[in-house]
Order: sequence, then structure tokens, then C-alpha cells
Amino acid sequence: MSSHVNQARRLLLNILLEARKRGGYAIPESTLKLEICSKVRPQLTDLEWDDLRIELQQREYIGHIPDALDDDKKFFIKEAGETALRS
Amino acid sequence: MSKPPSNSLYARLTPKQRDQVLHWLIVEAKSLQWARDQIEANCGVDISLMGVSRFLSSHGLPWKMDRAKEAAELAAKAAPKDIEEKIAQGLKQREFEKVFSELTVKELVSLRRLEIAGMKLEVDRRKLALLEKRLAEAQTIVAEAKSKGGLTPETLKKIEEKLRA
Repeated sequence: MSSHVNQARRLLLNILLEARKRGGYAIPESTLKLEICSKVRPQLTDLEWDDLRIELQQREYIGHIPDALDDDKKFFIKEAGETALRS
Repeated sequence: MSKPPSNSLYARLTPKQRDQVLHWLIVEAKSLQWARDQIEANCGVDISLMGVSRFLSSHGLPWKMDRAKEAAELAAKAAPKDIEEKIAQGLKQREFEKVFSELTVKELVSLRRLEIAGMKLEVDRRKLALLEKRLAEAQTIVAEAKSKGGLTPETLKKIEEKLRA
């Protein structure tokens, strides 16, 4: 796994953890992407981003709030994600 | 988060000063240089540009989250008291994501400006190196000419060409 993808994974989990600590908030995918792509170099491609998001969802590290009215999925960190971040 | 080192900018500023510096850098998109000068003038703290940059990258995210949380709580307080808990939560979530997204966009603009400033510095550094190289070459031609009896119109033309190249 490329180091920039690892860096993005850590940053993504960290952002969601910070949001959880402040009252269990979720972050829209568009904002997450913006936040991560502005800080990780080289920038993640759309494919890398999708792979990362799918991997984290499959591992149950992150989940999203179902919202039929909004395409911009709002993600939150799960217990397993918090444990992974600490390890 | 691990404890910041005692010589870090974070450790040397009061909470109010930290808030002000992050506001300058994220909301007002001020340059690192500008922020460093203000920190020195107003807080009496001497810090490198790298120190300011590290402060922004370590503390920018929690700062934006805190501002978003405050806005969400204010929105909840301003909402009618008789709304359902689920709706109140939804309102807070919307306000949190709105403020956090806005601050993220502002920070992105600041980061891009910093990146561009860094690129400009690199271009200036290269230009200076090139000028120094041309000057050294011209000086060599002058020294050679002097050892051969003095500057001729041809030598002057050579120097001019070197400096203009």
C-alpha cells in the first residue's frame, strides 16, 4: 500500500474521531475529500479515494448516515476504526 | 494528541493567542510571514516560519472542529424548544457540517496561497543562482582580459553577452 494512501487513511480516521469527540458528528464525503486531498501528497486519485472508502467501510472502521435526500454521504467513525487508529 | 514540546508555538501562546493565530491563518488567509511578524510583535514570541506552519498543520483541524461545534450548539439553542430530539440533532449536524466545510474551504485557500508563495520563493532562488553564475563567468572574462593587457571592445561584448544570456 502506498504511503500517501496510508497517510490519507490515518487522516480520514483522525478527522472522524475528532468529530465524534465533539458530540458524535458526521462529516460529508465532499468535505472529507477536500480536507484529505489538500494535505496528502501526492494527491489521491478518485479511484484511490473510492478504494480507501470502500475498504474502511468493509472493515467496519467507518459508517455513514443514511440520507435519501442527500447524495453527499455523511461518514462517522466506528469502534473498530478508533481501535485501528490507536494501534 | 501527545503533549506539544515546550518550545513549540502552541506551548508558548495563551489559548486566546492560539485562537487568534489560527483565525489569521485559516479565516483571514494571512501568510505565514505575516502571522510570524504579528506573533512576535503582539505576543513577544520569536518563532520560525516552519514553527508557524507546524502549528497550523497540528492544530488547524481541532480548531475548525471546535468552531463548528460551537456553531452547532448555538443553532440548537436558537431553535424552538418544542422540536423533536431527532430534528434538533439533525439541525446541529447540518450546522456543524456547514461551518466545518466553510472553514475547510478557507483553509484550502490559505494552503494554496502558501504553496504558491513557496513556489515563488523557489523561482526567485533559481533566478538568483543563475544571475550569480553569469556574474562569476563575466568576472572570469574580466580577469582574463586584465591579465592579457586590458579590456577590448570584443571582451566587453563577450561580457555583455554573458550577462544577457
